[in-house]
Amino acid sequence: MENCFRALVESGKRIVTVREMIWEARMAIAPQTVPEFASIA
Amino acid sequence: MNGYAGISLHLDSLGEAFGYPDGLYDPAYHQVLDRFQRLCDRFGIRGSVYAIGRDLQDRSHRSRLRWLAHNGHEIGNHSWSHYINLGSMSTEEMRFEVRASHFRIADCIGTAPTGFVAPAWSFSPKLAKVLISCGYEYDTSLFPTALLYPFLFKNALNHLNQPRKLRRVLDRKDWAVPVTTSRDPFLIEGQSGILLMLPMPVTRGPLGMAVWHTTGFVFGWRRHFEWMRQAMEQRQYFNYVIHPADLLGEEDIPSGFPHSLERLS
Repeated sequence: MENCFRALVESGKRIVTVREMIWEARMAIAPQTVPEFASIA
Repeated sequence: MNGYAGISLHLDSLGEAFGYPDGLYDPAYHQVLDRFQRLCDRFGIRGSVYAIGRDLQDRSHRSRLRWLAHNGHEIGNHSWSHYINLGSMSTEEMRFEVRASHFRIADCIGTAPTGFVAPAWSFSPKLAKVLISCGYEYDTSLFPTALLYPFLFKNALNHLNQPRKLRRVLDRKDWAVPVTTSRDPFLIEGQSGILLMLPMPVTRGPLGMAVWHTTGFVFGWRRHFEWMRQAMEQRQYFNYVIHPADLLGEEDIPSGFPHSLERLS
C-alpha cells in the first residue's frame, strides 16, 4: 500500500480529495447527453 | 499528462461483508483507519472515505468517522445497507438507501456528504436520478470495462454461503455498463441539478484494465504498477480505490470468525 501511495505522490499529479478533483473536472467538461442517461433530463 | 489524483477508501466494514454480529469489534473502523491515517500523514495527503450508513449505528464507529473528518478527509456516502444490486432496486428502495445514509453521515460529522459510490459499483440511470434529487454533486460508481464480469463472478463465489447476498449479485442489471459507458468524466443533467460521473480509472484499449488496489493482489504487483503508471499517464483524473481488507492482516480478524479474503491468508 505504501508503494501505491508513493506512486501517486511521485506521478506529478496534484493529490486532492475526490470532491476537489470533481470541481476541477466540472470546470473542464461541458454538459453532454450520454444516451443511456438521456431519459433523466 | 499531470492532472489530479485522489485516494478513495470504500469503508466496507467486516461486519457488513461477513455478517459478524452487531457490536463486535470491527477492525475496519479501528486498525484500518489508524493505518490509513498514518499513510496519509506520511505522504502529506488527504483522502475520500465512503461510509456505509448502517455501520454508523455503532457509537465507536461514529466517533472514528468524526475523527477522520476532523483530520481533513472528505466523507462520502456508500449507501445505508451496502446492497450489491443497488442499481437494480426500485426507486423508493434506492431513495431510502441514499437518504438514510446521507442523514446519518451528516448527523455524525456535521456536514452533508456530496459524493456517492454504489456498493460493488452497481449503478443505473435511476440511481443517478435519485442522487440528483438528493443534491449530490458527484458519483464514482461506474466500472467501464469488461473486467466487471469476472469481478462479479468472484463476488458471487464469495457469497455462495450467503444466499441472500448471492441473489443480489444475480439480480444486477448493469451488464451493459462496460460497453456503453464513457471512461472519461461526464455530466448528467437532471431536473433539479447536475451530477458529475467519475468512472473507475481504466487503461486505454478495448480491454482496458481497471486499476484499483485489488488488481495488485489478483494479477501481481509488477503488472499492477505498470497499469497504474499507464492509467495515471492517460487519465487527467485518477481516483485510486482501496478497501479495508487492503490494510488488514489475518491477525486483525476476530478470532473464530470467517472471511473470504485470500489476500489475508
